[in-house]
Amino acid sequence: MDINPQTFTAIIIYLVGMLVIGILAARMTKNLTDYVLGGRRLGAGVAALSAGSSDMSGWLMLGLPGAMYASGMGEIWLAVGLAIGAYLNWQFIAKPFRVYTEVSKDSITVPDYFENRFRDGSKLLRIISAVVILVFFTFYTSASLVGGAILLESSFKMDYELALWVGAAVILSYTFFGGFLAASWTDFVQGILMFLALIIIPIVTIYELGGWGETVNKIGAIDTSYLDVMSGATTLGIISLLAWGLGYFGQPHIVVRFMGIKSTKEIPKARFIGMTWMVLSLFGAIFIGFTGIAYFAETPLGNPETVFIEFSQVLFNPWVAGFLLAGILAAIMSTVDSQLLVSSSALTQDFYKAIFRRDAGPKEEMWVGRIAVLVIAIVAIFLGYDRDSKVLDLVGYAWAGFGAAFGPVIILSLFWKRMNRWGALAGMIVGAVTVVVWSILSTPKLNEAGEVIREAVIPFSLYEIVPGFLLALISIIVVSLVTKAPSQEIQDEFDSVKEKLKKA
Amino acid sequence: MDNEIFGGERVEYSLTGATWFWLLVPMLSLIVLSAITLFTERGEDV
Repeated sequence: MDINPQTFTAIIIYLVGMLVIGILAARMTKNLTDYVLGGRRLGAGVAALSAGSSDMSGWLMLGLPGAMYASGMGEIWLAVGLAIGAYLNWQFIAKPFRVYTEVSKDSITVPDYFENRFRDGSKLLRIISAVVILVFFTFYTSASLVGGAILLESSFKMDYELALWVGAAVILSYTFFGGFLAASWTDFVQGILMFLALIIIPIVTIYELGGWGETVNKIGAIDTSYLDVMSGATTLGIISLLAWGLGYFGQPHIVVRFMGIKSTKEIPKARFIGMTWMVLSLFGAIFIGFTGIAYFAETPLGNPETVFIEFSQVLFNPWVAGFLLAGILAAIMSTVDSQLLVSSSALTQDFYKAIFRRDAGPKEEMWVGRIAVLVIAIVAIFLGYDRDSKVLDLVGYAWAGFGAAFGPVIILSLFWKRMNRWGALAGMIVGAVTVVVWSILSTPKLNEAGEVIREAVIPFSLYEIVPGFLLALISIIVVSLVTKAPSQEIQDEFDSVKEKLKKA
Repeated sequence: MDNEIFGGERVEYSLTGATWFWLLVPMLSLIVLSAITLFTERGEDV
């Protein structure tokens, strides 16, 4: 792809804008609570769009349109499952989680909440959850940086390793000093940019193709299976795709937005803004891929995931194309900054402050947080040097892993008074282990030529979050019931949260 | 690409009913639900 000077300038303007936001946020960041949670002062719009954009990543701009372009309407199940999961998360988790994390010793990270909610003096809950966050998010960050570098490499003909450093430098430029507020404000702007890009492209394409009826006719003439949601669908396949929505309840970089929201009164507004943004963006991504089938019918794309990029190049003038390409960078950056901050908070709050330096002052904590962001970013860059590294495959486990390990623990901790720390520990371990083991047992062993040399132990295909989530729920209930009930202090705190929520 | 012509008639294609249903009903319902709760949840700040 040749890059036009106007396109390049538009992308630079966008990146400078992100830097300015970072500088403004840095002026409002005085301590660790500000740095990792923005001092709990996010408004509804920023909380909603930053949760959405940091969740969706490059998948919304590249993965979903690519899947729609390759297979048609049979791919919408995943979008439906994610939208339902996100709604349930906003409806049932956001408010109680916001209240409980504040009541429970003003917890500022997910591991912090687990320890305080269950009064876990052993620190096992904190350490295990912080290690899981640190490991998965470092790999996740690395994989996202690789995605951004590949985009810069293909767009600007930039050397891959240089692109890796440039991408990380841009994200660090606002995240290092500005922390959570910078990440949330930039994610808000990035969310708007992504939204506009996703809405404009399919509208222009359908117009160019002669209207909706003509577009569908062209696609149907190529292959009618593109028009049918049930094409190639199996019951287990549909359940697996819908089950992606279960992952929302346990994603630390998403639920941390609930903790950072200014007040419970903002949550219904944030839910409405967030769901409208998400559903319309998903429709945009779906129709970009779908209309791409007709638009590129005579010159099919080699890589389906480039359908958004190709559209931005062929349909728009270079200035608009630049901002549309910046939309993809925005999607990637908004996820990386959030993951960097959650990883940094795990290192700072859950290791440094909780274990090594309990009496660390606010400035010291904040600087440890900043240095942690830098260290994790550098580790992620070096991991990304080998873009084909198998270690980056761990990302595949991350969504299901967090969903199954943390999701059931968070849900039951908010709604079940009898749950105790042993139940939480059992649920976390069973959820995480089930996801990894199920995934390994479902995958056939291949030789170097890609031929199957040993069939999968589990003879059917079911997304690992389904067994992981269910077994974690069962483990929490069984282990909590066979061990000692929580202390009176914990039960009183649970009741006080319920009382507050009745008024909210 | 031209549509198929059978007996001089142009074949019109459309999305299946199930596709329209799964595409529109669940996701748009979520926007409607969140709009409804915007007005029904008017509690105080806690």
